[in-house]
Amino acid sequence: MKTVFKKAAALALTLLLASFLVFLAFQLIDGDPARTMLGAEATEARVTELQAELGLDKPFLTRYFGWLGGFVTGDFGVSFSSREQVGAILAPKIGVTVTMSLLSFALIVLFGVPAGLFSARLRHPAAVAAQTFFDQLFMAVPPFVLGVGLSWVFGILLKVFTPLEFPSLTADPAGALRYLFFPALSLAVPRAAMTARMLRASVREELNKDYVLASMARGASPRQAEVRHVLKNALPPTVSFLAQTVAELVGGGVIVEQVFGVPGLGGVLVDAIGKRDYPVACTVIVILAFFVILSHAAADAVNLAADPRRRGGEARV
Amino acid sequence: MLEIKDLRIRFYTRERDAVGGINLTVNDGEILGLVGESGSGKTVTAMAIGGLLDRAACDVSGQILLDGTDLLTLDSARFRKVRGKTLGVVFQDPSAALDPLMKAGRQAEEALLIHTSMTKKERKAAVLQAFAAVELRDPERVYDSYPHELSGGMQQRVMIAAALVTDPSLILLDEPTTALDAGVQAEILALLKRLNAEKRISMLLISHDLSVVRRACRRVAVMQRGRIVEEGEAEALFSSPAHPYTKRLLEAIPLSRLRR
Amino acid sequence: MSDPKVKKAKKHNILLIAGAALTLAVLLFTFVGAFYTPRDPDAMNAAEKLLPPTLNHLFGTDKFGRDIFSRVMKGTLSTVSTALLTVLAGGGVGILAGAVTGYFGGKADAVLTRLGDTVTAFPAVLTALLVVSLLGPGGWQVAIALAVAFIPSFMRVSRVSFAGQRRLPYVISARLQGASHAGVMLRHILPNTLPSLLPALTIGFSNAVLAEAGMSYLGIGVTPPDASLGYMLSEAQGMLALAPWYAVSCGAVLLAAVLGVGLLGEGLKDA
Repeated sequence: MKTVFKKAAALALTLLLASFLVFLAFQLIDGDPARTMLGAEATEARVTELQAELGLDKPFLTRYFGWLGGFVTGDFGVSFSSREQVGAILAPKIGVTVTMSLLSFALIVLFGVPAGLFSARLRHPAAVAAQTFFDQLFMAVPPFVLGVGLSWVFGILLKVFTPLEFPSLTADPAGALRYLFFPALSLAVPRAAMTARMLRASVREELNKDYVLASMARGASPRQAEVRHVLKNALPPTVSFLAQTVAELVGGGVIVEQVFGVPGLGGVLVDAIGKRDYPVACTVIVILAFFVILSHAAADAVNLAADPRRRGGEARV
Repeated sequence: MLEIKDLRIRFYTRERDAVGGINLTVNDGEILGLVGESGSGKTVTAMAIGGLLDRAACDVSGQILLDGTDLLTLDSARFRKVRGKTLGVVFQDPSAALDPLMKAGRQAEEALLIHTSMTKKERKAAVLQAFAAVELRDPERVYDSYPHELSGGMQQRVMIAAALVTDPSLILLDEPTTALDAGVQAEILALLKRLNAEKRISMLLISHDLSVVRRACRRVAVMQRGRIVEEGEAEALFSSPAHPYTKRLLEAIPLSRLRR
Repeated sequence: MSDPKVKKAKKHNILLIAGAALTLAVLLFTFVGAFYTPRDPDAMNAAEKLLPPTLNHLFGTDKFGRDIFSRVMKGTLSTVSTALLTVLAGGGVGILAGAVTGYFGGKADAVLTRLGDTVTAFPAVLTALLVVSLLGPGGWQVAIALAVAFIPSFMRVSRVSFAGQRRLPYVISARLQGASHAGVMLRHILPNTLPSLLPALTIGFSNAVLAEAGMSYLGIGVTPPDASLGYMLSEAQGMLALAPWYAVSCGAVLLAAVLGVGLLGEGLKDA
């Protein structure tokens, strides 16, 4: 129980620190958004007025906590460029990005895990060399390059989907999924290869351990020993890796969204940075960072639950 | 019980035989000790008996007769029927030989799961009985524990119980006490002697440690560089060794341990 | 049956050779591009637009009639040099920071590690985007932004190594003989940590190439006329139907760079 509290506290601290860093970064980037918004020829009076209106005349920490409070309650401020509520702008996009990320994650697990498991038992040197080569080949494929290729082949040539015309998620979920499949695939390919590689290495390492031998000494066939013992021992490093993958999915997702013209958080972010729309950019970055931190914590929790040793038991019998 | 005839094992990557034509007999109900330094081929011999050698990596010839059946002629499926049922194996480091993510009880049951059609309850009962036979004080608790929650000695008892649970005729023990503290070593050896006496289970005890072998075994074989250099009754061997290698091994034991 | 050990050695050589060859090819491409390109990368020639690859134009021409081969050379130069800069700066600072905190430990170590972990929570692209917002667009700025984003991972690898080596007997004996902290770190520990640092550096380079290309694809980063491969790829995407060879060559070079370094890393690891 104590470990759970400690982990939860560490998580909260990291989230807080992350939000603080982002807020600070934007403060450094543009300490005076009011002036930026109004332009160089604005009168002092107008600037001061806008500053008060946006609450910018208050000290830094007050604004930080105010912003943080708003964040928790769902008030993310107002966009500099469109004057709409940031929350309202982002709401429809979040669904798209989340769907794409989940789809990508599913593909990674679906392709990576079986590939890693099946290839683990091949030990012939030629097979291993081929494995390493294909690993590196698939791992080297840059998602956005693959994305350009896929959007060309499946969008323009084969017309499976129409690039830049994204069907609404709510109105046409099947069409939307079909569209999202390709960006998700672009993101998934290199990471599935990495997952397979990790898992294969892990399984190979476990196969050499004594408890596998012991199991076979009791009459288990190699496959039985694998299924019964090796799998769960080989998974933890891969689970951690998959958690890290979420972070990369988020980063790569921003770019791949642009390749396919997917209206998700990525597009909003790039737009906002270009237009210097800091409330939007800041909020999106914090949301993405939170997403990443939470998945790390989730992976941690899964590993903790799965491994009785880390729960801190000792010889008590 | 166990007869090894002219066993020769050679690994493809090595120049000389790991095991160069040995003959060994374990009689019914006896404990035979197999002694040698590391590299003498004793572990390889044990793995060969247990059918745990990677046949793709070595060349094996000769016979290993367990109750008349030549194990080396069995294909892997049939060998698996023998392994764990008639033949049990106990390894050196119990903390490595136990799956860290599985409770001790479930692991001890594994042989029963594979070889019998007992129900879960029956298996548990059998394991608890085996735990009692290996002198574990709280069998229920051990059953539900994970390996890291048990001390080294208890882990090894669990391993022995796991081997006992199918009523085997022969148990191979590869350095069963090497990873344990001195006091625990003595307890485990005493346990093995008791089990051998009470249940008439034959045992092949492999060790590099002569004092261990002396305490538990009635007959001893000494192995050097893949060959058996001396064989005989333990007491006779220790008091008047014939082969120079045996003499050297004996000299290496500190006197205080010899006297025990 | 032949000796498995010999077969294993041959396999590694292939990886190392292939990786080295590919990487060298890319580097050569880059280096030559710094001094010479067959045509002016920006020269437009309406008469020669949209030509498929020929001897005259090895990678064809785009819709403005520009020679793609020259453009890709220029772009590769931009991408690779930015990536190299990133690794040198980020790696340099990160390794140094990790060495110091790992070796000396203490409160500073705890704080910096926590900070590093938090920065790692942000995907590199996001961190880089943040820093670029701060510094403005441009090649140098992107390099610095990416360097900052990569510092934590280098720091972590280096810290673990130095912290682990700090207590080893050879360090203690060196100190007893009067070596200073800096001397010990430089002359004794650093050579021993190189094996674990090299993979981090090669992987860092690949990631830097991809990150830089990604950012310039988005239009944040190196801007025309100093285009890099990512920006060119976005241009190429617009001409996919008419001049697919533009996209193919950009993508191929990127793939070659990452693959080459990856194979090299694999080969070095087992060498």
